[in-house]
Amino acid sequence: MQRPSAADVESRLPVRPVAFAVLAALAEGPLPGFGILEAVNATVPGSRLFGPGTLYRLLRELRQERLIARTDLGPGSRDDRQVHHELTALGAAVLRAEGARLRRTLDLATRARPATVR
Amino acid sequence: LMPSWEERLYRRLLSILPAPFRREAEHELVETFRAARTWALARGMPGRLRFWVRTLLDLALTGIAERRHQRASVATRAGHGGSGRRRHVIELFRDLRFILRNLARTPGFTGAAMVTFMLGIGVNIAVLSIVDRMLFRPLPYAEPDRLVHVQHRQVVDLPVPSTSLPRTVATLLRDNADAFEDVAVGGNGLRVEIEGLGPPLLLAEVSYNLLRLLGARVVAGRDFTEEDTGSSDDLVLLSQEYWERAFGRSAEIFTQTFRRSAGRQTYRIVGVLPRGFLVPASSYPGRLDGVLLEQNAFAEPFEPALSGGSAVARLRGGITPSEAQAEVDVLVGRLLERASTAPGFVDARGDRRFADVLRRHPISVVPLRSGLFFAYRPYVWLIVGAVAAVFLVACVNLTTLFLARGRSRERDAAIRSALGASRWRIVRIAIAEAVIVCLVSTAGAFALVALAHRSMTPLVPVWLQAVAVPPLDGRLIVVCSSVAFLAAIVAGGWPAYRTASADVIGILQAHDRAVGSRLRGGGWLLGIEAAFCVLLVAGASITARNLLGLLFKDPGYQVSGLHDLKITHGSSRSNRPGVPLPHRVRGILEEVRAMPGVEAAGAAASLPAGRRLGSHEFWRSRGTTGLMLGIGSTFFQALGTPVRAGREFLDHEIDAPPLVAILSESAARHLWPDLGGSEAVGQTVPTADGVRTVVGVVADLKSLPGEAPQPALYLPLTAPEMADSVPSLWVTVAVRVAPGRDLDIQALNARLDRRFGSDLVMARAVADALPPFLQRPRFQAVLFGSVAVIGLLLAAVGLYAVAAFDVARRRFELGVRLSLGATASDIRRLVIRGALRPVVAGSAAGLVATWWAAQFLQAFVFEVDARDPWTYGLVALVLVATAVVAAWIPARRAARTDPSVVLRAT
Repeated sequence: MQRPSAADVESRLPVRPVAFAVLAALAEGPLPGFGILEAVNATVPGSRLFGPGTLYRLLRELRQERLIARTDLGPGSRDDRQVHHELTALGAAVLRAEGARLRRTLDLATRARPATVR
Repeated sequence: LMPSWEERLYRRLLSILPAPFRREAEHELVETFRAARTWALARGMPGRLRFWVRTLLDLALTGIAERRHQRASVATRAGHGGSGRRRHVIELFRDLRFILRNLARTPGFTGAAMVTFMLGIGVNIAVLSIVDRMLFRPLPYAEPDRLVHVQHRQVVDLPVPSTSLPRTVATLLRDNADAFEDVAVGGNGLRVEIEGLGPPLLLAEVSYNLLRLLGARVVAGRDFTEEDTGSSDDLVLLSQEYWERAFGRSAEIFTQTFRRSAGRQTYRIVGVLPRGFLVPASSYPGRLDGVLLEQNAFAEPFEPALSGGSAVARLRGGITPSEAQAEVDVLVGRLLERASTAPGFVDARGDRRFADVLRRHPISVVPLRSGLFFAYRPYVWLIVGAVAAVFLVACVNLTTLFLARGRSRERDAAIRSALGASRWRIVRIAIAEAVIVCLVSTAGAFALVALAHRSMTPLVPVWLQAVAVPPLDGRLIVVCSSVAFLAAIVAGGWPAYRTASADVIGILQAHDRAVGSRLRGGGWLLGIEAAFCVLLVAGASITARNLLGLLFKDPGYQVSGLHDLKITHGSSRSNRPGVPLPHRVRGILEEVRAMPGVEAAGAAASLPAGRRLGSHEFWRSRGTTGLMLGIGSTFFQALGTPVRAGREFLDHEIDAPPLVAILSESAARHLWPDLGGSEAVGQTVPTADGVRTVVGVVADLKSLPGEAPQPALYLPLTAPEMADSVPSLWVTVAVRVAPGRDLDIQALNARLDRRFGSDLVMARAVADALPPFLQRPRFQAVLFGSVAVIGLLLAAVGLYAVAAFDVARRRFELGVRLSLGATASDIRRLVIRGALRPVVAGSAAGLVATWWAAQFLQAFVFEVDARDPWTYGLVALVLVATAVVAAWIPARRAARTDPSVVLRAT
């Protein structure tokens, strides 16, 4: 597999909270659609992912951006007909980069002291 | 495995998505749906409902987004450039410019549409701002659903029945009813003059627990407590408005003592009520300067029938009003048993009477929401109904205007749709046009009402002013604008849909040569408008006539200059029943008569003028029932009631009453139908204590100007028959003050206090005590009158528009007729007849509807018959005449058509 270039990753930052949540949900391994839906709705307050349709459109967008891909779990798995989604190498890199970016932001925010009133 | 019905439904619903997307995504969508459904099933019914709501929302959002997405990608592929959103905005602006240009090109149409709609929605805004709080807003109390009114509808024959609850019952319920957490009483309004505070304060007497019961908190100082009921001072909670105005929010007043002007009573202000606090008493919905602690609110009453203001109770959690009602019935039943088996309960005769009243008029527990403004509610609904009808007429009118315009645009629309404009786009433009017209007019109406607000306020009856909201209230703006928006969608969309779905080829081929003698499409709309209009105008005219009739009606007394005083003749706050001492009453009268400006004064058990009749008895003789009222000397002189024959009572007849009586005219007529009124003098009437000689006959008194007179028998105040009904603590004094003079209440109080140590409990001008719809009848007559005029105006505009557009469409046909020899008057008749047909049919339908609605209207009008045939006929006639005038102008234009010009042009 080709290593994603830094420019490829940079051009996709920052990632929307909902998209970030999808990528994060897939970090541990492939998931079916509903698994992603649950994970996102549990972590992103006020998310506009209401159901299959909105989810599908988001996944399609991420797929076009080459961040995720469809996968088969193989004939041995129990639910073999169900489509699963997994992170691509680029997706994993973007997830890491966005995480680092957020962490830097968080550091800045915690270092800031409240303004003192004179 | 069979798919579940939900899955099958979902598959079917997927058809609203664009086909390419559906083909591509269906498998995954259904898969996710199945998983989500399994998850939802485990969460019971609520989870399942939630799941479906989300699923439907998801479908809708996906459908919209995907459509937009596809349009954008098509545009990009076609090389249109720009993103889909941008293209969309450009299209929107183009449409908007098109609409504005169109509206500007037909200023007559635009102006008519805007002005009529502005009128229609303007009256609604004005009225809603006044009644919104009364009808629609939640009550300003904590957990208002658990609050109930405990009512005793005693005087049911008045348009505004009294709802005060006898204190005995209030105390009984507070101590014994399990359904109630607590019971508070209050609501008797009184004016108190306090030294150094200028005009008298309007206070309501309340029990110490009222605020706590309502869940209201003082904003400064402290609330009343139970210990306060033993205080030697009178304790007051001021309204926040008064506190700010008079004391600049000073906290020092809580430690001061105030003296009542010309009296020994002292007052302490202990706290401040929250802003806009409303005492939940049906008799006092207005805003007050504060509340006064009623110290004996729950004391064992000495006079069981003593009316006690309103009672409010808080239900225990989970108890419904009907459960509480059941318990109240049981408790009151027990009280009645006690009253009938132990005649000495309080006072043998008084008690029996009280029990009778309770038996006749049961006590009811009603939710506070419907109890609070209960007396005003039907009347307010009448007004709301009238303005809603105006709005409906305005909407129909708007639809008619747009339809007429749409018809004149058929060709335009047909060309556009032949050139490829979608039907949706044509409808959308028409709706947008209507929305612009409606929203601009609504904004204009708000501006107008806001501007007129200040000058309108003094015209509005005081009790309404207190609960009105400012017209530029956010909630009102949202509600009215959304209603206008909806109206616009219907009024603009429906005609446009008709136009857009018209037969394109047919229209283009027919060119301008539409032939037909009848109005197409708009006719029945015009009929509906006429029907609504008749209903509205007839109803409004009957109400207005009724109010005007009241204005000029003789109630049997002269309202202006008449004051109603209530003066204690014992020491004011002692609870011992006094004895009505003739000489003391006479002394009080002497003092009142000696006041500057007083022309006459007379005492009575209660005043049959103004709001409600308090203490009276009934008499029955020769099949006639009537009032029996105890009065003093010069009573009728003070009221301004003409003495038709004989004389009034003399002073000595009050001191040591002989067997004399005075009759009202109607009583005399009832008793001796064949004698003239004056010949009744000298006749005799049997009463409980003997046979009385009639010494005088006076004009009929009506407690309300519009009421039917009740035959009345007047006895001396001190007659033994009156012993039960003459209050033992105070006397009512009718005072006539010379025109232009005012009664100096402070000075009078000082005199009374000096001589007898007695108090003026209440003083009011009778004119202020009239029930709501008799206050300012002129204002209300104007209100209903203008509603009628607006209705007519709207109908005229609609008619004119339809007739004018019809003539414009039929120019070719009319030209042919003229060239074939029709005369100008033929053409005029043709056009007018075409416009009149639906109006006449609509008016007939409207008359039938009014006839039916009259049964409800009759409850509000007592001066006129709600099915007065003359009014009906006149209204229908006026509407038809309006239609003729409205159609006349286009008819004349049609008759002047030059056939050669028309025929050559086509």
